[in-house]
Amino acid sequence: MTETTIFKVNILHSFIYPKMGEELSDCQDAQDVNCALNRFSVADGVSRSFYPAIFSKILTDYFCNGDTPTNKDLFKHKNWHEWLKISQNKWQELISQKVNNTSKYYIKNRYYNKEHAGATFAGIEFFEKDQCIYWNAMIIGDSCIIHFDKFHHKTNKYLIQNTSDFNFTPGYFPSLDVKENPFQPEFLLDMTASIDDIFIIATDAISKWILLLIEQSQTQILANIHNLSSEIVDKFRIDTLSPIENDDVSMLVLKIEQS
Amino acid sequence: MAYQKVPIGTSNPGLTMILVDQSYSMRDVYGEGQKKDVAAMAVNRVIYEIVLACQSGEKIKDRVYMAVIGYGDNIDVLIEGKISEIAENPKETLEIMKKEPDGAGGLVEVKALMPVWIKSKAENGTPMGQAFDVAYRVAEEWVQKHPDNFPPIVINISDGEPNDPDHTRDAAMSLMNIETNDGKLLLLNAHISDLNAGEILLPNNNSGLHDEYAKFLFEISSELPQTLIEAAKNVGFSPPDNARGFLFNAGAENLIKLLHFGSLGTLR
Repeated sequence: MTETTIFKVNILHSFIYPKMGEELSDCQDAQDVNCALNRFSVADGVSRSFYPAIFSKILTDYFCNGDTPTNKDLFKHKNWHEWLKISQNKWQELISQKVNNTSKYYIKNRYYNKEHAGATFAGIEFFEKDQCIYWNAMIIGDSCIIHFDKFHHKTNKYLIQNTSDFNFTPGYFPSLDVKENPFQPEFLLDMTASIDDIFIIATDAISKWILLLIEQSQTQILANIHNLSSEIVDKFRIDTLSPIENDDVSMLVLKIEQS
Repeated sequence: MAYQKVPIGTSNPGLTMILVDQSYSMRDVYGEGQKKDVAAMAVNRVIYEIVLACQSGEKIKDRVYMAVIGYGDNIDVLIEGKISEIAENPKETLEIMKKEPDGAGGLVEVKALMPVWIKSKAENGTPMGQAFDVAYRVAEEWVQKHPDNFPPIVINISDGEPNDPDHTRDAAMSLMNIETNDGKLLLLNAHISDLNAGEILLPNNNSGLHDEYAKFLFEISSELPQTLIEAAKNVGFSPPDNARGFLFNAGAENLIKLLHFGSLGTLR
């Protein structure tokens, strides 16, 4: 996370949109960016879990803006347990305040039951070393990073490779220190990038759709992905050939440019 | 194609209505209590589950409008309105201790708050037809305001024959003819009994129904759309193709399952 001299990351598009029939304020997905640190992240709160939107917001915010050694050295030490603990504590603190200030039985009951939130997560940071461009990432669950070279000749997908690999039980970060949690994130370290490369960081619905477009060689739609709008999402949600699943969506389209 | 406006959401809310028989015979033993108590418990429980399904943080999203109508010595609209308003206004909230697994093979007592909207009651006859008339008024008003939404779902819980079968048939048919642009109103009937025999669950024809009253209820029960067929499977039923939303001689467990999939199956 040092100052870069040979490149900058241009945010071509940042897009967040709720599932059909819901308001934006109901959206459980979150995203954050920090262009000074070249950190970018998305998260997808597990619906029906307890305060998932707050947790996904905490995770994306902390990854991009958390001014702690734990966060800064996340990729150096891969200390994700310690890193997660800080977000869990923040969530617990906020939720405790909410529960103490409410008389609502449906909130108190879930708190008494020690229910927690869950969120998938994908976070990426870009940096330079010896005049080359590199990136690190941490991913858990079915939020994805898709890396296109500038001519779209080569596409690398992380972590999920095929549309058939998406399922209803993705891994996630829990908002409490759950002992039986079987999931852990994967780290991608010292990956290379070039000027004019495009990176898409997205939660599952859009990630799955992009993988579907790749599988169907729908190059025209892919080339215009940075123009994705709510109208286009609505249209493809009812498309029979290349449908977008009805879920909250969060997506960042990033382009590596010369500084 | 009908019944496509799912999942129901805040911008296309649904209407769920529950009709509860509160006639004298609901004092009969049913499971571990009386029918009236089991019915009230099941309705309170499903309302609570709908509240949870509509919860987003501290907010209850108005994905559903609800009405509960009791029929016995009177026809009472026990609750009616947006789920957010209903959620905030239970008649009372009981503090109980319940046992939960402690994760180490044992049980631990956990505090819980139990909201109560419906009190049990059992008086007089079974004015089911008049209850359908009131349900018609509620559904018709709602459809006028939400003409493009998923159509209303009405779940009727009863243990016996109506006072006036002819009027009941006419009223049920009128109710089932209410429609939005997404399809006709869905009427589900749960006939409850403690006989522990002759349970009929979501049939798709009346050939196995030897009881005239069972045939009548079959006739006034809607065919389940695919969304509810899937939801019924998820709670453990095995509905055949073209199954109707109808239980006969149903025990408490199946009553609760019907309430669950009928009320929550379109929410996801």
